[in-house]
Amino acid sequence: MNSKLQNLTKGFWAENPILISMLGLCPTLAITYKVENALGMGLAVLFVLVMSNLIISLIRHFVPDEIRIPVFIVVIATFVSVVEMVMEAFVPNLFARMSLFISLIVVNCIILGRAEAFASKHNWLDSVLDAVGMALGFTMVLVFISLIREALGTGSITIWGDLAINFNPNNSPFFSSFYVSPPAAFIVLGLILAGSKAITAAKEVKSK
Amino acid sequence: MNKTTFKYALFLVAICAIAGLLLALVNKVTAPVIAESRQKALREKLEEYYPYEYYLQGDDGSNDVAENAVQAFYYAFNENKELEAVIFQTSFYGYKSQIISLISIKVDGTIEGARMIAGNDTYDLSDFDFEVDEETVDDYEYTIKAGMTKTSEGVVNGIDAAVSYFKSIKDDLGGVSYE
Amino acid sequence: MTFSDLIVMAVSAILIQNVILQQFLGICPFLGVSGKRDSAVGMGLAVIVVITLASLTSWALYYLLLKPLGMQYMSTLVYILVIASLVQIVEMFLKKTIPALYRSLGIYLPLITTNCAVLGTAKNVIAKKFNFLETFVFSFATAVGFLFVIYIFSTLRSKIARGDIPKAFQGIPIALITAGILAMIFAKFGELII
Repeated sequence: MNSKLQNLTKGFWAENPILISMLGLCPTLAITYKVENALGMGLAVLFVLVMSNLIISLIRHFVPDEIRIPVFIVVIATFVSVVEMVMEAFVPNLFARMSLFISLIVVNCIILGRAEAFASKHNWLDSVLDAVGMALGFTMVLVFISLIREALGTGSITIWGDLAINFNPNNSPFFSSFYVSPPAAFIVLGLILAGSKAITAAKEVKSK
Repeated sequence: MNKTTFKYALFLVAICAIAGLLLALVNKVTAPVIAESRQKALREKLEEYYPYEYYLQGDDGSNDVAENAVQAFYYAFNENKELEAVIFQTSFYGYKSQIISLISIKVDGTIEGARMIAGNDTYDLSDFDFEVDEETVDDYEYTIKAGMTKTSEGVVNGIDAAVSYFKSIKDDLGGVSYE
Repeated sequence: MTFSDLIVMAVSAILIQNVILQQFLGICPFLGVSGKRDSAVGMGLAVIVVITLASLTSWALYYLLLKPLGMQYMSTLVYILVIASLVQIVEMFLKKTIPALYRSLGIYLPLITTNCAVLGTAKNVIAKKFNFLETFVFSFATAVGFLFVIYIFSTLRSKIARGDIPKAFQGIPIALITAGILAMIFAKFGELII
């Protein structure tokens, strides 16, 4: 059972898809200007990753090896299309903000990567645990970046139209809309990746 | 094509077919919800000024914050889903800021009305009354009933822009349907 | 669109709405291949071919097949299959005609399939309701913008690599920060033109 738990939690830090594998950077840069976006994207990726890992692990013995990549792509694209339709129907405003990047989940290297590296070689339970862990790890980083950018960029965090936290009641100029602009996305992500690399390196030194 | 390639192709086609069926199912469930929420959003926006049964966005939404131009236009349909009018949203400089107006022109060219829906905030929208009396796109005049001339310039320019846009799309209106 | 409108759209696609620095598409190959100038240029050219052909093909399939049959919900699936096939074809073509380029691009060539810029542009031309000619100009210009930025970046990266960078920043972090500065410069281009 311990290894099953590890399977789940490895996606949180040790094999975090963004911080360690540096995959899925396009949506990480594009949508992290609002915490609500990060939560929506995280949920969408969770659904697609879990469903695709599940299906691929179930059919893994029936798929001829040479065409496995196109087959994986079809499976992933199907679930992405499902997410597109469901989001457009039930959360249209959120969908309108991110619609292109929801579609782009199909080319998110994390999903194809886990399908190829894990789901095609393990049973369905392990594959689902792997998917949940990776998706949660991905979401955590997205939310972390969005918290920084939205808080510094607009002075408050607004989720579903309700103000969750207001950091900036005095309208101080420290909070500038620069943080939600494209260049800031690159810089904030660069700093966070550098930070996580430093932490990983420090941990390695400690364990030696 | 040898036997294995054929087998592979068949496998892929089968997977795509299953995928297609699943997607068609989801689509059946979600499409009405999507259409209804689009209608709701458009209705909230337009019904207050120009009540119709159905609306459809006519442009691609890329100009919606343009200044001194037509920002968007909407087709308005009656209960039989027949096109009755085209409603233009324009933004032109008025008293102190961009004035956003909605101008409705019926399919036959009569200008149904022009209303200011947003503008400089020292102005109470109800102070401003503007009348276009059943004029047509080829021959129209405005009567300013109340409000400063600068603000009305924002609406007047909007009407002019809406009229010229209407003239440019007039011939294609036959092909518009509510789908 | 008139001819001058097309020019404006093309310039805008290259400089103002740049696919990498403003739209955030194509980041993975941008960071992965921009190490060496030659592979960057090779990747850029391959991407130009794939994006243009994929956008035109997707456009055609959407308007000739998907929309008339009311099956727009299949578009993501159809586009990605088109892209995967095109990349496979380009791969085989390069292997036979320019094997040196094929080898230098290595794993990054099949990875063009997962390049967000390709699927993203295909989706964009439908969303913007372009006609065939506009699709061609837009997708070609978008891809030129990709090549432009990836080339600039490859020249920058080799200079940065020679500098004294803290270990944690080496590789992708410093590349991202540099990209951010480049993005700020491109944003200024936009203000100049507008």
